[in-house]
Amino acid sequence: MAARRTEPLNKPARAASKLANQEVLTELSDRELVERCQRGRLEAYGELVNRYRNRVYALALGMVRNEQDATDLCQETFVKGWQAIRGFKKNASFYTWLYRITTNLCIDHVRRRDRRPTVEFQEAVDQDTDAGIEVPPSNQPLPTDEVRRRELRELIEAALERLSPEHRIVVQLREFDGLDYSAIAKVVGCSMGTVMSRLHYARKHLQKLLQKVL
Amino acid sequence: MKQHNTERLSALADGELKGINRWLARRHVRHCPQCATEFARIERVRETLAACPPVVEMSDSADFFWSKIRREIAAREQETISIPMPRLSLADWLQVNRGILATVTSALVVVAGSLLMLQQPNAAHPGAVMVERVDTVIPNTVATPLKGSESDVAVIWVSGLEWTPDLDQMRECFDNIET
Repeated sequence: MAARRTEPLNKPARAASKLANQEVLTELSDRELVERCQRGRLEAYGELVNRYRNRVYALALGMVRNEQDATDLCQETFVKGWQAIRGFKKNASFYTWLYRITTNLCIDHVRRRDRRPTVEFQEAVDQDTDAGIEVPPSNQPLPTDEVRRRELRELIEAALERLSPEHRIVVQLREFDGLDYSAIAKVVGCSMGTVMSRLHYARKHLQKLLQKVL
Repeated sequence: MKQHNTERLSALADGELKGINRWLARRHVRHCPQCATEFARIERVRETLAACPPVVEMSDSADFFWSKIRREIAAREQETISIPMPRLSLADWLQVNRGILATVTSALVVVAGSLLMLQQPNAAHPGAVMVERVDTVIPNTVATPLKGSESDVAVIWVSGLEWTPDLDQMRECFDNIET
């Protein structure tokens, strides 16, 4: 019997092999990647992380309004996701499941943070939360579209910050992630009727907060 | 939508109302100035938010972020946790899967109807008196008592006569016997 040659791959070959492997992984669906993860293949999970890290980060940032906290929560989401991936049912949607983990972590984080008495918190409570947000005086030079857009974005972010976490999350999932009510209900863990109600009252609140630009 | 159910206006704007509910909500908005104004406000909020989505990108590079996760996973290798799968309540599930539910119900009705039809193969004409044989033969005769679906049926079936559970058909057979 001829002895099999087991020469180690040289560096470029290893890089090529790694690249080929990555190319294959990028072509797989979420379901196929999850199946590989359940068999213990960490590199398949790496592809899922790469696919969803910005969306999860955006969701976390929208909730906690702090970049460092959002990065930490995003990391914790993916670590918990790996730890629990064996229990994931294949017919479910991976991103809904991931969003559910993120949402729960963020809500816990916001509640913990808001329990800590700080000067900023007291000030925030004293404010009239329904008062409109200040816009630049109209006698200023007409800003370019880009500047105007940036200002509007800042106003929107300031308005979103004044919403409760429960209202903010449904607005974020609907308006920026484009999820339908059933997916939002799964992520948030409530009924579709509650999603409809929260979304409505969040929009009513945003109407008041953004009344000067609407 | 007879009352001003403003929560449903959000669902209408989001395209979440289907069928008759959407039609009713649209009709109400057309005829109710108060709800029409509210609907326009909701649309403006949606358009404003859609025009300025947050530009969010993580400051960590993809490789750096993945290396942090790998390190953390390795550090907590022994830990396994259980996270429940996100699912809808039964009421919401039924609402979302109305099409499937209607199909399954229709199929069940068709199957049940077919089974009933198969169980009554000789019910050719309505109002027929149906009878069935009782297993005891009357001693010293070739006759078997019959149990009818009506209490006043008192007939017997004679062995050799072609069997049918329809009493009228059986009488015809009996009349045709040449004596």
